[in-house]
Amino acid sequence: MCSADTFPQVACAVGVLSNDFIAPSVFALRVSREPHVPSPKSGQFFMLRSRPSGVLLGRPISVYRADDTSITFLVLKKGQGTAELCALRTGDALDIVGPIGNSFQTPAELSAQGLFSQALLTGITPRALAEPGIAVIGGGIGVAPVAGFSLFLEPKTFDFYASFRSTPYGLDGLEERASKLIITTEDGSAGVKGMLPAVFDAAKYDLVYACGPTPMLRYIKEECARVTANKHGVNGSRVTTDANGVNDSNDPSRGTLAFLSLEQHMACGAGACLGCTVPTVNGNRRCCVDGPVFNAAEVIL
Amino acid sequence: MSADLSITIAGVRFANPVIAASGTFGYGTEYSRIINVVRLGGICSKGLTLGAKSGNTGTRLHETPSGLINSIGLENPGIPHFIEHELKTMLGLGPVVLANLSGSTMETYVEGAALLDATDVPMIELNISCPNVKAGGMAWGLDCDAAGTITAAVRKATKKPLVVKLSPNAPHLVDVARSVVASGADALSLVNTFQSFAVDIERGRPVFDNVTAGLAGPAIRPIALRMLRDIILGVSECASYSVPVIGLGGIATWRDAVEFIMTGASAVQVGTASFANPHAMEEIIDGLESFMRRKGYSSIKEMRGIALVVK
Repeated sequence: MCSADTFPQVACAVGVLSNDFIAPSVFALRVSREPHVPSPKSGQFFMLRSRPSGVLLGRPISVYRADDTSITFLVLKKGQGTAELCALRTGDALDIVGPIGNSFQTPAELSAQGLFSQALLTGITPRALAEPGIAVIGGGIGVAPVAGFSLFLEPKTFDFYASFRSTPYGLDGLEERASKLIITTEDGSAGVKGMLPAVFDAAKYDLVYACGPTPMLRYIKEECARVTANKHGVNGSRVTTDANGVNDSNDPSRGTLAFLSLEQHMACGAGACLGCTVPTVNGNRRCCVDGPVFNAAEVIL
Repeated sequence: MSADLSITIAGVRFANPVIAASGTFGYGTEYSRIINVVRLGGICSKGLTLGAKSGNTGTRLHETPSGLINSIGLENPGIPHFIEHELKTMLGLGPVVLANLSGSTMETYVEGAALLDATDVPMIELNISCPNVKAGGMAWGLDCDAAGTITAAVRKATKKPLVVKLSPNAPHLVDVARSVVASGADALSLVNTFQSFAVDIERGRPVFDNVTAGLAGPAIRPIALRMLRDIILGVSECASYSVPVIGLGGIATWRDAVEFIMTGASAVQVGTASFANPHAMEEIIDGLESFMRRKGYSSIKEMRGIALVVK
C-alpha cells in the first residue's frame, strides 16, 4: 500500500443528502462527494464535524458506502459530537477531513503486494491463498467498514458474522452476497442469542477481516493466533504442509491471518498529533494513517 | 495600502507571524496534501529528546468543553533520527523551522542542543514546559533558578537563536521569564498546556495513565492572553521587544491572533485549532492581512502591544 495515500487529502464542507434512522441511536448519513474529494477505499474513514458544532474536534467515522457522487457513513450516537451528526438534516453542512488511513486488502491484493512471505509466517499456504476460507466480522457500529469492504469480495466466497447488542443494521445485500450470514444479538432479538464466540470458529478460516469493540477484536486475535500456533507448533516451526488439504479445520497446513480495523480517540486524523497511537510488535503505530487496519499478529490489544 | 505581515525574531525573518505549534503539526509534511504549508510563517517540530521516546500508555486525548487534554508524553524518534530523516524535508518546505528541544536531565538537553547546533535548523525552541513526562520537561520550567540554569546550559551549547517555551503552571511565571531572559534566551514563547485532570467515571479512575495531563484549546485562551500581558509588562526586555514573545494558547481565528499581537506578541503559534480545521492557519494569515488593510496597519509592529494600557 502506498503510504502517502493514507494521509487526508481534503478538508472542506460538504452537504447532507440524507440522514436516515436505521436502528436505535444509529443513522445512515449520506453526504455529497464533489470531484475534488477522492473516492475512499474500503476501510478508510473521515473526520466528521457538524457545522455549526459545539464540539472542538471532528469524529472519526468509517465509510459504509461510496459512489461517484456520495459517501455514506453509519453513525452511532455516543456523545455530543456524534449526536450532532445524527441530528443533521438534508441540506445541512458538515466539515470533513479525509479520506484517511489504509484499507482492507482483498485476497488478490494481499498476494499481489507480496504479503505472501508474511502470510507464510502466519501459516497460510499457497493453496489457502488461491481459495481461502474468508470470514468478515462486524461488531456493532464496526459493521460499517467491513460490510462496505465485502462489496469488493467475490460473492459467495465469504461468511459474514455480525454481532449486536440488539437490533441488527448495516447488512443490506449481505444475505445474497455472503455464503452464510450469521447474526448474534445479546438480547436474542435476532439471530443467535449471545456474542461472537457462540458462533465463530477461527479454525475454519484462512483470512479474517474484522471491525468492532476492542474485546471482540482481542478475542479474534487470540483465536486466530491459537489456531495458527496449534497448526505450526509453539515455536512457529511448521509442523507439516498438505498441498492437497481440503477446506476444513483438520487441514494441518492452515493458519488464520486476521486484519483488524481499530478505533481510537483522535484529534488530527493526519498523523501529526500522535494521540491515537497503538502499540504493535514493531513499536507504536498511528491508528489514523498507519492503520486503521492492522495485522492481528502485529498489534498489541 | 499594503500590509507587511513579515516579522523578525532574533534575527530570523518570518514571512508572517503565524507558526505551527510544537506537537500539533508533526514535521510539516503530514498536512501538506491538505493545506499550502509554504504559506506558514514557521513550523515547530514535535518535541524532541536526545533518545527516542515511545510516549505515554493508555488514553492520550480527552476532549472537554472548548478544550483538549493531551497526554502524548513526548513520543518522538530522538534527535539523531530527526536530523537524519526529518529535518532536511522540513527545511525544504519553506517556512522557518524551529526544532523543539526537550529532555530530562541537563546533560540530555545540552547534548541535544549540541547536535541541533551542528545542523542548518535556523532556530531552537527550548521546551521546559512539557507537563506529560515524569522526568525533566516541565520541572525545569516551574522554578526560576532551574529555568535559568537549563537555559544558560543550552545557551552555552548552541549559537542558534534560542526561544524558551514557558509553562503556565509556574507559580511565579514572570520571575521564571526574567531568569530565562537573564540566562540568554533570545525570545520567549508562551503558554504550553495547563496541568489538568479528568476522571473516567465508569471505571472510577483517572482518564490518563499519567494521571494529570495538559489542557489546550480555546478554553485556555483568555488565561494565556493574561499571562502574555503579565510577561510583557513584567519583563523589561519583553516590554522593549528586545526579547520578543511568541504568544500561544487556544488561538483559532485571526481575531484571536490580533488579540495576542495587540497584547504584545510579536508572533503567534496555532496548535489545537489545526486539528478540527486544517485550514485554520491559512485563514488566520488571510484574516490578519485584511484586518491590517482595513485598519491601516502597514506592519505587525504598528499594532503590537497597543492594548497594553496600564490601569
